[in-house]
Amino acid sequence: MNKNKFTIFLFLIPTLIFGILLLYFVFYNVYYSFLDSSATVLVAKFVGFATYKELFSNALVVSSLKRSIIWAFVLIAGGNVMGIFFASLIYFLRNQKTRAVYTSIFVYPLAVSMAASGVIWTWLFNINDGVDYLFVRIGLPRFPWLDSPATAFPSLILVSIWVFSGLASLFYLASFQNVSKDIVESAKIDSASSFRILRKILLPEAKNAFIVSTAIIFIFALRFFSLPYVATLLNPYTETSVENLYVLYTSLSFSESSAESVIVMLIALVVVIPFALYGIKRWLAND
Amino acid sequence: MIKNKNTNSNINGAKNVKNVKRIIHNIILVIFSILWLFPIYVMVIDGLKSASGVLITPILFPAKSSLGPFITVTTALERPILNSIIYTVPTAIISTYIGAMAAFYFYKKARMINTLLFTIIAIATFVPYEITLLPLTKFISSIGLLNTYPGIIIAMLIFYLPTGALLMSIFLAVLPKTTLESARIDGANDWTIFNKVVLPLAMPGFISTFIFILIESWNNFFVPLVLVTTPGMNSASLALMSYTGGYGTLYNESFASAFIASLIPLVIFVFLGRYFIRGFQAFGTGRKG
Repeated sequence: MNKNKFTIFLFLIPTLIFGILLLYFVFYNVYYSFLDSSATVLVAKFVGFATYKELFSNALVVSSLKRSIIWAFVLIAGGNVMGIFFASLIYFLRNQKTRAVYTSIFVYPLAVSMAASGVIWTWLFNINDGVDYLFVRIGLPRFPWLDSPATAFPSLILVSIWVFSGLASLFYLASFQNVSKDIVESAKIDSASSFRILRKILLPEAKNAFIVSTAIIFIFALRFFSLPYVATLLNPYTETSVENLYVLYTSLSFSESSAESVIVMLIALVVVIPFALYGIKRWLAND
Repeated sequence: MIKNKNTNSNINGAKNVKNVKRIIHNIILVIFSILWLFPIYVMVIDGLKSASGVLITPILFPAKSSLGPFITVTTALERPILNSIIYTVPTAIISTYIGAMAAFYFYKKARMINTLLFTIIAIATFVPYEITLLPLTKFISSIGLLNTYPGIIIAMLIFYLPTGALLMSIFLAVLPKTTLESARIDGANDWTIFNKVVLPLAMPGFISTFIFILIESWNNFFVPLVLVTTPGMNSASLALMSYTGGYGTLYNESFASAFIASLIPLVIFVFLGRYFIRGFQAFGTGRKG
């Protein structure tokens, strides 16, 4: 029996080793953020919160950080709205096959790398040859997209909504399908409109979908890196720099970069820890 | 008589309203599908444009087609795509298999300490991995594996093994414990039970986890960006950087390269998309193998 207990622990060891490495990375960042280490400093010394203070007085860092958070919140709003929209459009289809096809169409951007999406959308946002070509032909004004500091960031947010709406719709669709068919059918017989069924019957049951979509989109939004990196890396206005990019810009000032990483990590944990605890109950439920 | 006629036309009217609604419903779906598929359309028509076609037509419309751009970028991307396969297939297999082993451990032991360990794994799955830029680079170079296949695979494993363990735990949770009991009575040890009983039963979940990690690691831009130092080791998504839009670039090669670099995940998505989708769904609803 004792031997058995030991062998089953062996199953966990490889995962633990890698997990501990990841933890080590996180603590490494915390440790370095309290030093003044950089590529030009020979012997680093302990400086406490000085690096953090410096960072928060740096306008570029603060604006990148703000942008990361704004991006997350706008994407959560946009992704949830579009997710509900797509999920209800798909839910009211009769044919299983058609449902599957439309679901795939709205989800496939998740399978394309953000780098490839960046390449594609940068060209679509080209003010001469891209969608503006059509805008001008049908009498709309030319939209500046990535070419103006005011519109570059919203344009990238649009791309991210294109990527993540399908993900949210998956969670909403699953919630809708959990609602008893009988209730929906009897509402239909009472000639309730689809919109009413959605509002009165389906959406009130979609709390789980809302929590999961919001948490997962937030987590993915904090990882954004390659899209702005590919689309506007050399953007002279730094109007699309997010915090992860800033970590890279400053990678030679070790402590600065580490402190930025710690900040991103702390923001992530605010959502990740409650989400993990919320998820465990559902993930491991076995009845 | 008159009354009857009225009801009839009412029913017809209701039917008409229903049909109109159905048509509008479908039109909305088609419009959004076109919007969502638009990038695929431009990748194909613009990837097929010759240099002269690029100069005389905008991105939105096709021109006389030529396989030239696709041939050029395929030649250029051959090595990066091969590299991506080398980076991601072992990552996905190892993450799924070793993750399944950890999941098996959690499946058998439900104790407080394990809930804590499991929570840590869940947190590790969702940590924004970009924040490890410095420690990751230092660690990989300190073990002498910077710019090597094993170095990049190890880095990928650090991020995707927790994902594998978490997803496999979710998929294992639905297995009936009685199956294990009968195998144990037959005197099988844990290793045999894991390989001969648990994995076959959890195969759909295993495939979902594998496909999920394969696509996610294929699209990972960050790890190769910080660990690759020579162009010969570029991954597919990293190699795209040389095709981003800019002055003097022709867009036909940009679109062709985006298409070629995304081809493998897209083909997997078309044929095995339900497994990929199930991976995402598992995070949300759990319990659905």
